[in-house]
Amino acid sequence: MEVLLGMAVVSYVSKEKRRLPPCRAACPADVNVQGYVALLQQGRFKESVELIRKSMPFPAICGRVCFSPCQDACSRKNVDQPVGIRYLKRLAADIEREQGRIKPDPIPKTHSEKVAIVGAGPAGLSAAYELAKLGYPVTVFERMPEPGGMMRHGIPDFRLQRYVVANEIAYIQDLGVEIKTGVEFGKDIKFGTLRDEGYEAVFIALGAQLSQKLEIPGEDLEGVFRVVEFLRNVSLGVHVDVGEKVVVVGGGNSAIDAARTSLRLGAKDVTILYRRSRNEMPALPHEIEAAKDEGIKFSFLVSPKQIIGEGGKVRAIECLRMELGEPDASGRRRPVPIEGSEHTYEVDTVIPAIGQVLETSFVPSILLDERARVISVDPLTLETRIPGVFVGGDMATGPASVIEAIGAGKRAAVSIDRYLNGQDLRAGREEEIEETTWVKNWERMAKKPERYTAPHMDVGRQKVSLEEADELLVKIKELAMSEARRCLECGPCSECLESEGLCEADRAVVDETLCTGCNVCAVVCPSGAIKKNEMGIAQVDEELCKGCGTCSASCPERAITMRRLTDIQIASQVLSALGGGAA
Amino acid sequence: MPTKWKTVSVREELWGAAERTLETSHYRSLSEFVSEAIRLRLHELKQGREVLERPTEYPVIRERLLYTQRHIWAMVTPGGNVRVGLSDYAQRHLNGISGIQTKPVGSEVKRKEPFGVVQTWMFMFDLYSPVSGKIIQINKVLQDEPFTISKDPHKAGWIAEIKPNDQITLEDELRDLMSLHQYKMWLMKLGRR
Repeated sequence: MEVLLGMAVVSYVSKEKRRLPPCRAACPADVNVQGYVALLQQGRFKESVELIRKSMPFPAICGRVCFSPCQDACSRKNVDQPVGIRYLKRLAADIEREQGRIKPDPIPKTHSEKVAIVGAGPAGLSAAYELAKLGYPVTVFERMPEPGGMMRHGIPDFRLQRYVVANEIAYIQDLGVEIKTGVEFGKDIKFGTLRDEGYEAVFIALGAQLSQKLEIPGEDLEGVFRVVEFLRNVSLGVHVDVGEKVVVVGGGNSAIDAARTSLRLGAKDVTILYRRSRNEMPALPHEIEAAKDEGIKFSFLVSPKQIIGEGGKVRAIECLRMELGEPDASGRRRPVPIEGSEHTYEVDTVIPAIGQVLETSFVPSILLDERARVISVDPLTLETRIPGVFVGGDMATGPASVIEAIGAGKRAAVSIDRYLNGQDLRAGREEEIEETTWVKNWERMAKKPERYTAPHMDVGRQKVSLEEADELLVKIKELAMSEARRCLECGPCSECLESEGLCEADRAVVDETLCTGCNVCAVVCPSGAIKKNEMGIAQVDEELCKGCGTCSASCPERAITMRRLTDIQIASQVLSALGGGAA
Repeated sequence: MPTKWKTVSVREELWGAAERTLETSHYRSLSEFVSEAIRLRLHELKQGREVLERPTEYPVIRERLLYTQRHIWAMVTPGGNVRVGLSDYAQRHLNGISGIQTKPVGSEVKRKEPFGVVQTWMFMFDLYSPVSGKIIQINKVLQDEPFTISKDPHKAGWIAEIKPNDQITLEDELRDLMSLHQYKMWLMKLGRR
């Protein structure tokens, strides 16, 4: 009976429904987008960055390289163009640092259980950041001489500057996270040694470090560079000779990065071969544009057949033309080769950039799935078959993006905290997220298309004189504020930013003598806080009401007013929420 | 929080201008516009005061430090070369230094022409050479730790050492530079602008 009862408790998983604005619902790292944009509207740049840092440690990095699902989801796209959220984030982070060095105080270690994190990429560092905030002593082990993972060695300097990565990592180190570089997992440290050294939980996030092969003849010739190694060597300052003519195979961001890097290494003629058409390219649109502006050529619907060598070196690449057939599992149209369409390009260098795979040679077989290709891991808790060992990031999901890795790191941190405290890893975590906006009629929203697009800061910063800088900064701040004001604030609310002084602690109050029971308020309420009682009169659920005032504004009878809560009322609500049982 | 309200009168043409600004700009209300104006004015006043009031720690060797209008200091070393760096005033405006790039060792530089850039998180500033000559040494510490400039702009934060082409031109060029006192007067003039 007791056992049964125990099982029942463990298997009970509460599903909570969260109502979020579309931008926040789209973010894998759950960054409070609407909140920081709201702070930017008021010109509160510092608070805005601090709010981002509550959810993740890399505002300046994400402001530069994130694929910004938030911006794609932004409601304003239904009216004109979406708010430039990624660029706003970059500006907020840059302005914060332009005004001085950021150095947080170390967080006191309140826990004694040591946590080891293997791999100092976005996933590992985010997990370290979250655990350090909770007061755990965290050590991060990194194979390369510098931390940062793909952010440091996979994304070229012209897209993500070194000092940006170094600065964001220094912030995490200042919080008290120890990073040991030059330590290779599987060689210098193993599961066993980590346990002997007293680490009670391990998070492994090594990323996908191998380049996928083209599987065509001639791939081992001199002059064929694997994309991961190529970008890593360039970032480490190793001399790489690409010759004059370079062909990059692939359509993702790595392919664009490799092509743009080749140009910077002195190549005269760089072509990207992609087997589908421009529309199917997974690379970010603005990156493709930047590559085009730099003079990189694109050859679509072309796939390599073999690499032709001469004396062990690459001489040419033979390709086939393709046409698009039926959509495949990924929803993109499958390329089909056209018979007899062989043609060759004379080249000095070929860089296949068709994807990355993870290195599984040193992973114990117990962690691998049946096909021995991916690591078998619970997608929600990131736990593996070995207790206390968690795996996340590209290693668990296959190659993905920085922001997804950050999300994985955060999930791992929650799991590790629960594991070390002996709590259930799953309880209450399977949330159902519902995108909510109060806007019903997009046609009626005012258009504000004057969009502040980023000056090409990827290429170089604006050159100014000392005297102009202050003025320019004020100007940029104003532009950022006006861009932030384009936010429709379409979500329920930015979620309890009362402490930030953003909204006042309001509450809707219904005047029952005026209410006609028309139900408009219940329909418009984004939080679902209003329901009719048996008399047909609107009732406000105080716990759900966030004080947005939408009901008050839409009530035809003016029966709902917003009343400011007194300090005592707020205190009693907080106490009762904490279970303190206040009057 | 203001404790007392004060009524002020506004000239009519000024009022008209404010209303026109409100119509054309992004300000949502008059109070927003006014508060922004007050903020900017306070910022301006504060900056003016900073230049005049903030005491500066200058090294003992101050009599040999010379300055340009582009906020570069120059100092003749015992070996007869010219060591250059950023002035304290400039450093205070570059709170977010992210890197320093100079022409490589061995390259020629000319007076009043850029020999490198200081990068902050958002901007780039040219470094104008005070003298003509050849760069013979670059401060390598700044490559890893550009913040050294903020901590100690006159000593550890030096940027480059220039070997002058010939002594006579050097004398002429140095005569054009400002002494510390003259430089301070120049800063006051800038602050009043």
